[in-house]
Amino acid sequence: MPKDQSIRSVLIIGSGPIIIGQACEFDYSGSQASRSLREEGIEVTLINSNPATIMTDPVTADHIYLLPLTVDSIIQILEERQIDAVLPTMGGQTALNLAIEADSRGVWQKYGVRMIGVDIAAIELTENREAFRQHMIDIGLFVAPSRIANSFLEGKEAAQDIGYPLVIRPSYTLGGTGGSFVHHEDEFDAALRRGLEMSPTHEVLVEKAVLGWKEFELELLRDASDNVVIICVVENLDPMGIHTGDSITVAPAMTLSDTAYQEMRNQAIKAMRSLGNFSGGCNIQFAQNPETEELIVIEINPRVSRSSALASKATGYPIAKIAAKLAIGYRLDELNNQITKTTSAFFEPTLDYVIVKMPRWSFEKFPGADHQLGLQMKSVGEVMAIGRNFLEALQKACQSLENNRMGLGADKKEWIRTSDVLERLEKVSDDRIFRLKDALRLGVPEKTVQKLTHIDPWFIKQIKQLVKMEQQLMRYNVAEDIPEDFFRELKEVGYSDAQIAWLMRIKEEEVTRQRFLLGIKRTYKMVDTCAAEFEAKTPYFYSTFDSENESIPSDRRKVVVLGSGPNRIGQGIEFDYCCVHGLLAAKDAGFEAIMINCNPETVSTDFDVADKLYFEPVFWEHLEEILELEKPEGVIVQLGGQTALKLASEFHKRGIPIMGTDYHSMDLAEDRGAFSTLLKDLEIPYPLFGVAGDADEALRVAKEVKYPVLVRPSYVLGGQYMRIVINDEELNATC
Amino acid sequence: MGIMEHIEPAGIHSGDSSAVLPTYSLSVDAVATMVEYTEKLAKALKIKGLINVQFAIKGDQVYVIEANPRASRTTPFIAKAYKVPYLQIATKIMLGTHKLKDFDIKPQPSGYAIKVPVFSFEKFPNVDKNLGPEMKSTGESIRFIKDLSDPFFRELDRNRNMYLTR
Repeated sequence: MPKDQSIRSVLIIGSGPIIIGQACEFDYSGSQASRSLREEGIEVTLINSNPATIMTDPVTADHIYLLPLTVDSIIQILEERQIDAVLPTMGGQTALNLAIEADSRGVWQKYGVRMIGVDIAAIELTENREAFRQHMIDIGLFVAPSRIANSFLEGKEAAQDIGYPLVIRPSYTLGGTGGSFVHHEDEFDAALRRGLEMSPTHEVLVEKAVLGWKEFELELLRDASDNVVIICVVENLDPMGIHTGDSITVAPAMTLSDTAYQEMRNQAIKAMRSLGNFSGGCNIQFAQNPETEELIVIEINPRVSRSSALASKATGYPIAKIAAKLAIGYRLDELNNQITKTTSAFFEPTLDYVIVKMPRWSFEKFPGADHQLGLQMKSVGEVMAIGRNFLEALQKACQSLENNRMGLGADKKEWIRTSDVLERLEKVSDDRIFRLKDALRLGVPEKTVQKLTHIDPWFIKQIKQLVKMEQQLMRYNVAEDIPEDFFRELKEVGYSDAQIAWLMRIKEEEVTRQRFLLGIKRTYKMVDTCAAEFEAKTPYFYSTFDSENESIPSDRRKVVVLGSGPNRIGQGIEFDYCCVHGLLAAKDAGFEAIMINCNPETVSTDFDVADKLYFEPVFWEHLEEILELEKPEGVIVQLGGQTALKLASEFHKRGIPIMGTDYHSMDLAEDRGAFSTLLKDLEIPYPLFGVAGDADEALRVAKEVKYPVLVRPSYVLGGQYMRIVINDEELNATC
Repeated sequence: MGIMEHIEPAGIHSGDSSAVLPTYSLSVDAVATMVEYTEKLAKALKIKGLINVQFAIKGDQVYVIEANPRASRTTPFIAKAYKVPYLQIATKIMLGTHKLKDFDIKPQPSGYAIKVPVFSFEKFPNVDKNLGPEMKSTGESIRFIKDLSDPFFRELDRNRNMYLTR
């Protein structure tokens, strides 16, 4: 069926303020959907209460309502505008819930608005855990044994039936809020009470826990004629038991046998076709028994999600964009692949590279928070890295995190006590992947590591390979000693020069110098959706060490915009907004706008926002080689938050021009001491202050300025480590 | 571009404070002083592009707390509330293709815009929910009000507190 001509204006519902579990990936999907509909001549109205989004910008939509996401706001919009249809699948759970609420109050019916993309029945089916479970069983798929409970008593009964360990999952909550694992009977009451409280319908599912099973996610698109494509299969490195948002994930699936993959595909397609009226993007999660390859369906989200944003960036296939077109009636075979522009959208992307997604946590902001990972998502952002092999992608992801890590370990931050390491492997925390490598380095057998973590032996073996290479590397004394082939191998598995330098206890510059001397340099490959089978037209690149370079610099005037890396508390979606505008302005001013960032949730890393996109860590070693290749007129560091600004000194040192305010002025503003002197010269009052290099100095300063005092470290973001202290003792504790 | 007044007093991180655009309780003098100091600073730092300056005001005295020579968290907020593409303007100035005088900047305020921080504390049951100089919020929303008699604003203003808990 071609486009439905009766739809002339569409309302898209956004996802509201950023909370854990629902972040800027929905700005990405909402913006894509809006642009996609406008391409079709449809008038787009947007509602979202989040001002830091691109979707609520005049560049994205025709009419924007920055209103609270409530039914009253929806009514206000419908009173003011003629809206033919509402698309609720782009704004996460918030948008779906709002659409359901408006429906139950008869709003859509009253104003003659059709719901497109999904219907209420399909949402209900996937959201109501009991109905979903029964439906899966009816169509012949397997689910974990479970029972629904609406009261405390029912919950207790269910637990007796099912046995431990079990999971409590509240209905209609987001990012696993209120859910928990219960290993023993004595933890059950508290967990059940919390679950019931968190669910808006006072309903929980008590389910058998399949801890240690492997977890896979499939991203699919379905059109109104029941055509289905599988865009991407994402494998979770962390097995069942850890929220997907907190898991390290890999695509394509690394440890899935072909028969198991075919089975998963068939089941996914079957499940999707059974969903009733649904056309758009969808995500299905499976758990697989590692011994028997037996599959169970965990859940289905009939909307675009965090993982579909990731899958879009991983494959180059713009899921939200195509999903929006399917919602207005197009069939998959009627649409073009947006990257090749010549092939059809009705195809499944093929990857000739590996992507690794790593979550970014901000536990340092929440003193007292439990670092243990589980059913509830705790990370606040994520990075994605692309490499030619798993290890390269994994190490690049570590370099992207901005946690002062230089890669997967080998950077002075290793743990050295086996007992500590083993404890951390069992009690899953945000640093598990680093501890896993520590364990292997300390000689813990792979089998033991696998038993403690339930991580697939293949991943463990891969990481063990790094340990072996490091042992070999440590035999050399100076950079010149490293044999060329081995040097290349090290770089091919993602080692940064800083890691190599640390392992050999030499200077990073020496490693870099020798590497350039040997001509071991990064080349750039295109993300083209089709493993180079067809010609691709979209300039979306990642680096690797290969002989052929696919990124040919143009001779236009160009400027590089540096992104802000993973979202975290204090640095989030706002900077994505800034970067997008920076790119648009640079294009408008006649420059070739080049974007560098590693955050898959963002609009600025959409392949058609910048003229050229490098999906790379905002990490000096990676930037240096891109700049050398592209030779831009300058770099914009003002738009990517503290991440980008911090790199200004590196650019300055190497004579790379910084656009706008120059390096000295930036440094002056950042250096608290120098800045206060400037204020004094300008006769601008400022709070009394002193600069201290250690605790004794700080005590002296505090005496002069008098308590209470604010202790603020230089060059930080979002008030990191800032404290208000009222006496000497507190000050001592803070320094 | 704009001046935002925090409802909570200094001491609570700007990212965790509710803020009002434009200012709602400051004297004309205080506002003029802030504008003057900002201009002085921007010129002394030879800013080409964006700068964000944070002030604390006690009595009649205006103090500068800090300055950031880059786009800040609130830049998109002000651009939205005033309907001016400030970031595009700033980028073109950075690139050197345009000067400030090339743009006809006309903010279109509609009443007051309030920035309200949003927290995700339910994910961290045992965490200290007191606010302080370290930022803890994960997101924000915008709310437009016609005037200061708006009940939403009055509620926020009444509940402001040095150590507010969510």
